[in-house]
Amino acid sequence: MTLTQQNGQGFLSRLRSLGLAGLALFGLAGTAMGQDTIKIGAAVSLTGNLAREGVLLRDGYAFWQDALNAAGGLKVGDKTYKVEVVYYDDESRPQTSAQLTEKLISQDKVNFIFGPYSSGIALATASISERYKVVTIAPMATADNLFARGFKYLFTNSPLSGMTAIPLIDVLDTVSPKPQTVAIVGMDDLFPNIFVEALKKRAEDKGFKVVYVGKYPKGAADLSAVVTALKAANPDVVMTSGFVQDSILLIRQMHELRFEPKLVGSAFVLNVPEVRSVLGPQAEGLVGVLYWDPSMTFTGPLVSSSADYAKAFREKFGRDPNHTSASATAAGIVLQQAVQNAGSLDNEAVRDALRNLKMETFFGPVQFDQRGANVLGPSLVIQVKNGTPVIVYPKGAAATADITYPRAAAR
Amino acid sequence: MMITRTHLALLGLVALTLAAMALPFLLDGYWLRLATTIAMFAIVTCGLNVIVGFAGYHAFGNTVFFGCGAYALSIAMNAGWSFSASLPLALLAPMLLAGLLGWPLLRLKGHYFAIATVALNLAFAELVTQAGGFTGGANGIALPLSDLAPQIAYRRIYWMMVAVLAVCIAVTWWLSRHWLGTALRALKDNESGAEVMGIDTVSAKILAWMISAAMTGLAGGIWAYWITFIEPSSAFDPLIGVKAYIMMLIGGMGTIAGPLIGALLLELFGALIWAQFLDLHRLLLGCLIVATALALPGGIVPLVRRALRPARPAR
Repeated sequence: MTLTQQNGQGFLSRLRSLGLAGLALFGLAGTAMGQDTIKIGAAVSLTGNLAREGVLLRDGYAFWQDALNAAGGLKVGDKTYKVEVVYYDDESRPQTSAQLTEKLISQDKVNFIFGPYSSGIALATASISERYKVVTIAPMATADNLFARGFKYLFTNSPLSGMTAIPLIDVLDTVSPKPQTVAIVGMDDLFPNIFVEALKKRAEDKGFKVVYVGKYPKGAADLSAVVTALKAANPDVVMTSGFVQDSILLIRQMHELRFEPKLVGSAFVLNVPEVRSVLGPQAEGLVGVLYWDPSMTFTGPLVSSSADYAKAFREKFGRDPNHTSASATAAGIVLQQAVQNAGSLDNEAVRDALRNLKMETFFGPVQFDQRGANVLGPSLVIQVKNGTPVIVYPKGAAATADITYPRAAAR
Repeated sequence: MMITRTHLALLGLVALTLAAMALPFLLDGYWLRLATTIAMFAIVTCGLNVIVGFAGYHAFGNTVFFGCGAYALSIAMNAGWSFSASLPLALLAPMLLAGLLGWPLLRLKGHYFAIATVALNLAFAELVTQAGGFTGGANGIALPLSDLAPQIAYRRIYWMMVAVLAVCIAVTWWLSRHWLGTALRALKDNESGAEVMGIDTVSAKILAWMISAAMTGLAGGIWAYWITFIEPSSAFDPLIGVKAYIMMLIGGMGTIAGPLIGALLLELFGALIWAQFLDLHRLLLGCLIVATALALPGGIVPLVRRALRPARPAR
C-alpha cells in the first residue's frame, strides 16, 4: 500500500522530499552549532560609492558585538548567549544587497538583521526580511517613505529624515534679528528630496518666507547656475541638502560668486571631518544637523556615556566615531534590550518587545511608533566655530553654545 | 516520422526547462535567488546576443530596455493594474522604443552605434528622473507588496524567469535557422554586400533590435516585481549591460547556449567569491574576466564545439 502510494507520488514530489530532508539537515546542523551564539546579519557597503559610510556602519556594529561579548554576552531567559555579527559587502547595490540578505536569512540562519547604509538599499532588502518575518534594525535608513510601506519587522533607532529637518529651521527662531527669507536647495535624490520638502514645510509653518526651492542633478560638476538663482532670490538664510562632494562644490561656488547670506545650513555634511578641512575658512559659521555628538549627555546600558564611547572607539579603531557608527552601536543596544525584554529569540516576540520598548541609550531616547520609527530620536544643530563644530541647538541634550548670526563673511 | 535534429534540440530544451523548473524544491532561499539572478542575466544576455552576436551591432547601452521594462511594469502596477496585466507592457514598451529609435540609430555604424546606445541609456535615466510624478523621479518607485510566503513568492518569480529564458533560447534557435538570422549574419559580415544581395538590412536590423529589446525588457519587468523598489540608478545601471556583455563573451558570441553558459559561470563564480573574500572579491572577479578574455576570445561554446569535432569524422 505504502509502496504503491510512493510510486504514485511521482518524481517531483520525491525530489521535493529529498530537498526538504536536506534542508532539515542543514537546519539541524545550524541550530546545533549556533546553540550559544546569537547571529545578526549585516550586508553593508564596503565597496562602491557608499563604502565610506558602510565601513563606519560596520565598525559601529562590531563595537557593539565586542563590547557585549566582553561584558559576558546576552542573557535571554536563563541562558547566556554570545553575539556574532555576520558581514557581507553589498557593493552599494540594492540587487546585491537583496541577494546577501537572502543568504543571511536562509543560509547563515541569522536570528536578526542589521540594516544597510541608505534608504534606497533598505527599500530593496526590507521587503525580503519582512517576508521571512525577521526583525531588522536599520539605523541609517531613515527616509520617511521607507516607513510608510507598512513593514512590521523594520525599525530604525535614528530619527526619520523629515524629523531631522525641523531643528534646523527652529534654530532660526532663536536669533535676533529674526531672518525673514529662506532659500532651500538640494540634490535630486531620495534622501535630499525628503529633507528639502521637510525644510520647506517647517519654514512655512514657522512663518518664514521661502523665496526659492531648487534641485540640482546627481553628479553635477558645476553648480554656478544654482548659485546665480540663489543670489537673485537674495535670501537671509540658505539651507542645502546634499551629500559630501556636491555640498563642498556648492559652498565653494557660493563663495566664488560672492554670495554671502547671513547663514548657510548644510544637512548632514559637517559630520564628515574632511569637509571642514577641505573648506577651510569657508566652513566657518556653517550650520548642520546630526544625530549624535560625543558631548551628548544621554546615558544607557552597555555604553554609559557618549564621551566614553568616543574614547573607547578611538582606542579600538584608531579614529573618531561619527553619528553613523554611534547609531549602529545604539542599534545593537536597542536589539539587545528588546531580546532581553522578550525573554526569547522568537522574532515575533522581539518585534512586540521593540514596539513596547521605552529606553535611553547613550545615543538618545528610544520609543518606536507603529511604523517602526523612533519618535524620540534627537537631532542636534551644530555650527562651525573657530574650525570646530559646536552644538547650538536644542539646549539641554548636550553642552551647547549660542548660535552666531549673522555669520562672519568668509575671506 | 523521422526524428530530426530539430526534434532532438526541442526535446533537449524542454527537458532542460523542466529540470530547471524542479530546482526550487531542492534549493534554499539563497540558491534560489542566485538561480533566479542567473536566469535573469541569461535573458538579458540572450537579448544582447541577438543584436551583437547575430547582427554585429554593439549595443553597449542595451540596459535602457531593462530599465524601460522595469518602469513600464512598475508604473502600471502602481496605477492599480495586476501583475499579469502589467507584464506584457514590459515587453511592448521596450519593443516599441527599439522600433522607433532603431530607425535613426541603426544607421550608425561601429563605435558610433555603440556610443549612441550608451547615450540613450543615460538619457533615459535622466528623462525618468526629470519626469517626476508617475515615475517617482529620483525618489524611485515602490511596487505593491504581495503577502505571499517567501518560498512561494520567490519560486513563482524563478519559474517566470526560467519560462522566459526558455522562450528566449527557443527564439534564438529559431532565429539561427530563419531567413532573418541568415540576413543578420550576412549583414554582420558585410553590410553593403548583403544590401547588394537584396537584403533589406534596415528592416532586419530593426527587427533584431526589437526582439533584443523585448527579451531585455521582460527581464527588467520581472526584476522590478522581484526587488519591489526601483530607482533610475538601479534600473538603468550600465553595469547590467556590461555584465551581460562579459557573459556573452564567456559563453560565446552568436551561439545559442552561450548566454546561459556565460551567465551561469560568471554568477556562480561571483557568488563563491563573495562568500569567501570580503575585501578582495572585486579584484578576483576582474582577474577572471581578463583571464577569460585572453584565454577564450571566442567563448566556451565554440571551444567545446572544436573539442568535440575530432570525434565525428567517422560519420
